[in-house]
Amino acid sequence: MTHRPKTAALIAYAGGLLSDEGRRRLEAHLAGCDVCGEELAAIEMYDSLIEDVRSSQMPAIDFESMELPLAREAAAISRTMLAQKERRSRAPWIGLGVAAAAAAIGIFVWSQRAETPAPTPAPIAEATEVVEPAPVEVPEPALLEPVVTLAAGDVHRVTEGGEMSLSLGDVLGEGDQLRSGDRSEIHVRLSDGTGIRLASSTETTLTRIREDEVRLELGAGALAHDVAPLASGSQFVVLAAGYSVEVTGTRFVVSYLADTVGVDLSEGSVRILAPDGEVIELRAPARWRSRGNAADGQPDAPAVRGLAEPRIAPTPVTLTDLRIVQWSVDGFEVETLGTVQIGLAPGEHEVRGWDPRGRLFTALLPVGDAPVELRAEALQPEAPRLRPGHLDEEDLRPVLTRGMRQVQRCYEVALRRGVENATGRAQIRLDIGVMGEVTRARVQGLPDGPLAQCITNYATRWTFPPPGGPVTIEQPLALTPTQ
Amino acid sequence: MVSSTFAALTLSAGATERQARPMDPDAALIARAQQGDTAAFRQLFRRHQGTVSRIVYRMIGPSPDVEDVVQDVFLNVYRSLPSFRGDAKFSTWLYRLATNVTRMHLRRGRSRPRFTDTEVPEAPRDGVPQDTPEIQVERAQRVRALYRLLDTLSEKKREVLVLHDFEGVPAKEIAEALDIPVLTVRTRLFYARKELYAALAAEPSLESVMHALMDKLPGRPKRDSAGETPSV
Repeated sequence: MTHRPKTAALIAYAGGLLSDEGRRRLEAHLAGCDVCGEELAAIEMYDSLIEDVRSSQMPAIDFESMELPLAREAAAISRTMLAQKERRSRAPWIGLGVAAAAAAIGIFVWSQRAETPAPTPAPIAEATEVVEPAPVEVPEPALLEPVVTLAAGDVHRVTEGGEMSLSLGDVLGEGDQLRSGDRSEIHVRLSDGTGIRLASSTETTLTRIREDEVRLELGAGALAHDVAPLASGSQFVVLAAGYSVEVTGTRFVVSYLADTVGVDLSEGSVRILAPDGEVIELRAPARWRSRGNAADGQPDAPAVRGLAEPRIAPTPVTLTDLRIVQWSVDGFEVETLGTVQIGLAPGEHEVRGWDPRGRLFTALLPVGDAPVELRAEALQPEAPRLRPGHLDEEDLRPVLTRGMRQVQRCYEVALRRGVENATGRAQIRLDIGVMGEVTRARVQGLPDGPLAQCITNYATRWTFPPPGGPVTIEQPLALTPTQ
Repeated sequence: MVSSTFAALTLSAGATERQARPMDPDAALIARAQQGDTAAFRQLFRRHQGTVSRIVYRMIGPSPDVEDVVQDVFLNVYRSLPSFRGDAKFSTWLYRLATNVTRMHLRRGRSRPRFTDTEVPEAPRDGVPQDTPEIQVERAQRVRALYRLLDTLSEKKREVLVLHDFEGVPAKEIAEALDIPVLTVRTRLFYARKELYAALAAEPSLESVMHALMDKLPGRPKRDSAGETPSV
C-alpha cells in the first residue's frame, strides 16, 4: 500500500508547532520515509519561495498612461452623480422630508449631548497629504447631438427649465430626462447613427452624450438600443439600479421592470457590472435578469421593432386617431394610444393602423414641405382583411411552458374526479390577437366537459408578446395518467 | 413626535454599529469620491495601484495584458464606487473586484495563463548586503518555477493562494471578498498548497534544492554532490 504523507503534521513540524514527543516521533518516522521527507522538503522550499516572491520586484507598470482614461471616467461619473444630486434636490417634498429628518436628528443629538459627556470623536482617517499635481487637461469630446425622431403618445422631457412635452425634431442635451407614459414611445437618434428607443412607461436620463462616451441612466421601463460601431476607446454604458451595462457595438434592450434589471441581447456583446462587483459577460443571443431566471415569471423586455430613421430635412407628420393602438409607417411599427409625431421625406407614404381588435385601417398620405396631420377620418377600414402577425418559437415557449403547468393541474383534477376518456392525444388551438391576447381557445380531441372547459378557461387568459397581427397556433397535448 | 423618536433611536443604533467597526482608512476618500470629487478618485487609484497590480500580476503572470487588466479593475472600481455602501472594508471590496475582473480576463482568453520564462526582477534591498549574482540568478529561477507551477492550480485555488500566501490577506477577508465561507478558504488553501508541494517535489529545475533540503532533515543519510545516496 502506498504511504500517504500526513501533510498537516508535516506543516506543523515545519512551523515548530509539535510537542517534544510529537516532534521526536515524526523525526523517527522521517528517518525511514522518503515520501514524507520529500514533502517536508517541499514545504520548506515553498516557505522560502514565498519569501523570494514577496521580495521579487514587479515588472515596471506604466501607471501614468492609465491616468488619462481614468480621469475621463472619473469626470463622467462625477457628472452623473452631480446630475443625480441636482435632480433629487428638485423634488421639494424630498427636501422637506430630509429637512424634517435632519431636524429630528439634530434635536436628538442635542439632547444626547446635554445628558451625556461628549464621546471622544472617532479618528477621521484623512487621506495622506498628497501634493496635488496640476489637474490633467482633458479636452472635451464632441457632443453627439441627440434628436427626437419619433414622439408617440404621452411623452415629456425634463430639463433645468422644468418639464415640457416632447416633440418631433427636438434637440436634446446632456442631463435631459425623457419620460414616456403608458402606451407611448420615444425614438432618439444620435449624430453617429446610434438609435435609442424608449418603450412605454420609461424614464431615462441622457447623462453624457459625447464621442468618447454615451452614458444613459434608466430609472424605470425599458430602453432598446441599436448602437453604431464604437470608435476605439469610446463607450456606451447604460446604468440601471446599480448595474452597469457596457456595450461593445450591438443591438440590445435594457429593462428595469418590477425591481428586476434585464438585458436582452440580439446582436453583439455586452458586459454587465453588478453593484457587488460581479462581472457578467453576454454574447448574443442572450437573456439575463438580475433576479432568477428570465423564463421564471420575470418580466419580458419589449420587443424591438425598428427605429425611426433620421432624415435630412424631414417634414413633420402627425398621426392622430384614438382608435389606433399600433401604427406602421415606412417599415417600422410603433404602439401607442396617442398622437404619433414622425419625420417623413416628401412623397407618398402608406400609413397603416390597427385597432385593439386587430382591424386594419390604411391611408395614403401625401407629404410635401409643410407639416402634415393625418386625422381619423382619413383612415379607411380594411376589415375584415387582417395583416397576419408572427410569433417566434422563443416568444411562444415561455407562455406555453407556464400554461402547460395549468393544463397539468386541470388534468390532475379531472383524473381525481374520475373524468372518462381523459387519455390520449389532443391539441389546444389558440387565436392570438394583435396585442398578444388570446381571442379564442379551443381544445380539440377531447369531449366537451370539465377538462376541456378548464383548459379553455386558463388558455384564454394567456398573453403572448404582440405579434403585430392575428396569429393562430396549435399546441399538441399528450394525456397519459401516471402513478 | 412618535416618528421623530423612532428616527432618533434608529440613528443611535447605527452609530453604535459604526463605532464597533474600525474606521476604514479609505473612508474619507470614498466619501469625497461619492460626492463627485475627481481628485479623490485619483488618490484612490494612486493608493491602491500597487496592490491591484500585484494581485493581477500574480494571477495572470508576466503578460503584456497586466496593464490593461489593472486599468480595467480601476475603471470598474470607479463605476461601482457610487454604489459602494461600506458594508465591507474598501480593501476587501477591491480584492473582490480585482479577482473578478482578472478571472473574466482569463476566461475571455479561453486559455490558462501562461507563465513564460521572462526575467523576474530582484527587489532592491536597502541596507541589506546584496546577494552575489549567482544567488540572485538561482532565486529568480526558483521564483519562475513557482509561477509556472501556480499555473497548474485551478482558478479557485490560485485566487485563494495568491491573496493569502503572496499578499498576506487574512482568510476572513478573503472569505468576504470571494463570498465564500472561511472554512472553504482554508480548505482551498490547504489543497492548493498540497498540490504545490507535490509539484515542487517533482519539478526538475528544483531538484538540487530539494536534495539539499532533504539532506538537512534529521536522521537522513547525506548525498554526494551528484545527488546520489552514498552506497555502503
